[in-house]
Amino acid sequence: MSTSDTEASDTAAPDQSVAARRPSAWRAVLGTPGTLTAAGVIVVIVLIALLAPIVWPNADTINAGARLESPSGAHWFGTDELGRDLLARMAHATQLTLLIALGAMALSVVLGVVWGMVAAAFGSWVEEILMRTADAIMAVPMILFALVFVAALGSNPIVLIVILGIIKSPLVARVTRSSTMVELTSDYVRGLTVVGLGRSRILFREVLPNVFPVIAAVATLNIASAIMVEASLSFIGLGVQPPLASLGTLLKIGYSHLPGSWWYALFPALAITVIIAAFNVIGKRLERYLDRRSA
Amino acid sequence: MSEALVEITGLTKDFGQTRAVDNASFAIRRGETFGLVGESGSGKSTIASMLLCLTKPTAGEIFFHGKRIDQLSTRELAPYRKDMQLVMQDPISSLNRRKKVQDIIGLPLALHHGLPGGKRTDRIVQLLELVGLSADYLSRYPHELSGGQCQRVSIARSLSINPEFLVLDESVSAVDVLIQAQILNLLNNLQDEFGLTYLFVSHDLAVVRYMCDRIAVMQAGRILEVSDRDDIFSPRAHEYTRALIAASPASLAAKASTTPPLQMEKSP
Repeated sequence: MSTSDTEASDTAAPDQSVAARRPSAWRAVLGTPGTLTAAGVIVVIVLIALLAPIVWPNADTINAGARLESPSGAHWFGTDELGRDLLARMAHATQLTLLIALGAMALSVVLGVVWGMVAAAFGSWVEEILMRTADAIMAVPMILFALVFVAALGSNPIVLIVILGIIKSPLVARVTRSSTMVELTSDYVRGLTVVGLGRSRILFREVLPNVFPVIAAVATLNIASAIMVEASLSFIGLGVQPPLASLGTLLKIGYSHLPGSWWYALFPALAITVIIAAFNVIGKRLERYLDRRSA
Repeated sequence: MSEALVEITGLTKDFGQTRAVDNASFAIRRGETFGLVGESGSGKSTIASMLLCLTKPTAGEIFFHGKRIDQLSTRELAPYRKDMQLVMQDPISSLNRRKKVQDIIGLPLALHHGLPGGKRTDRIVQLLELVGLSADYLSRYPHELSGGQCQRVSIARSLSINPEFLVLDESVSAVDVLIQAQILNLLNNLQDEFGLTYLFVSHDLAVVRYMCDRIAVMQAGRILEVSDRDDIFSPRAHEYTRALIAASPASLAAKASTTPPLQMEKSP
């Protein structure tokens, strides 16, 4: 008897289930009006940020004759205290805001993934130390934490990225650790151990891709949160310093011109709100989708 | 039969206060299929896990080819890894859901044989055909396969590095009866072809009877008896073994067809 005659019945497998499942992950996350709008907003904002130097090359040109003009056909969002077009300045500020937030998110993911995976893989006292450290960092209010470091290290965008990245990494570490622990007890990890694959290769090549969707959800929420902390720091004068400007910096300066020049504070504030909301909507949706799938 | 390939003596495992395996001893001869049966929670999977050095025994010794392996470090164990492989119960979760079939089967090949790309693919196709699949499956993902197909991929992966000893831990319990029969035949054919030795862990007595040469019966962590198949399925067997056989669905069905339903309720 040859072994191939056993092929028979179970080779005509159900294929449709998969074909339907792959794209539906996208559809499930972006399939509601809210998340679709949020995704649209993010695309538009990223485009504005990317195209800012091309569309508004003269954002820094001072025009003494046009100081603090209210919104008009020539200046949609009005002008600032030096006569610069506020829309152009906001486009450039959005670029810096997103750069800092994305940088912080990337750093938080790299740190947090290694942190969480090492904790999950080693267990015992290593895990205790790592996770209690994460708890300790998360227990300190973010703004306070950032304040201390900005006061010590000064504030330029790089320092902000590093600080925000460190602040947000314990959250990634926690999520990574718990998901990794679940994966490590699964059958396929047993199988790979029996095959003789080393622990670190199992962790980073086999388990990490499976944990990644959950990390992506946290990362998205981290972008929103990083934008908020950066804007708060900039608003109290400890974040991005002029002549550089993030949306938070613009809000701070606009706030001081609030009597009489309502647009100067309003538009940056609106922009910050909309961007944070957009990332939050996507992140929360992603989180809920993954929760339901694993339940 | 020839000498023992795998031998355990006085194997004991505690999980906290619970003694999962209590002083278990048996030897598996080269080329045979050794059955390990018992109820759920009787400790049979724990023994399998300790044999593969996935779980450290609390006490006792494990020998493979006469060499003690239960106290080896991960590195010292590496050469033994390719000689003993495992096929698990749940066919789908025992494969990484994000890897294609060719990567799943190719991994041990790359790891132990260092085969380069082209030759590796040839070998993977050869293995797929061996287990009754074809090259069409190379770039499929586990969720694109049926349970039976996943189990075949699992078997192909296990065989890829030419092990001598295969632990089949409830390997056919999760697939339906028709496919169960196909997989069991496949396993028998592979055993004949490559002279494999099997440890067959199962709660299904009909399957064990079909597959195994010798059988160990476990209850609550203890091994009650180790006998040839024919002795296990005979009145000479241990009291518990006979109760276990009497309680299996096949014997119940046989009884139901010969006795009136009213008397069924009186029988234990």
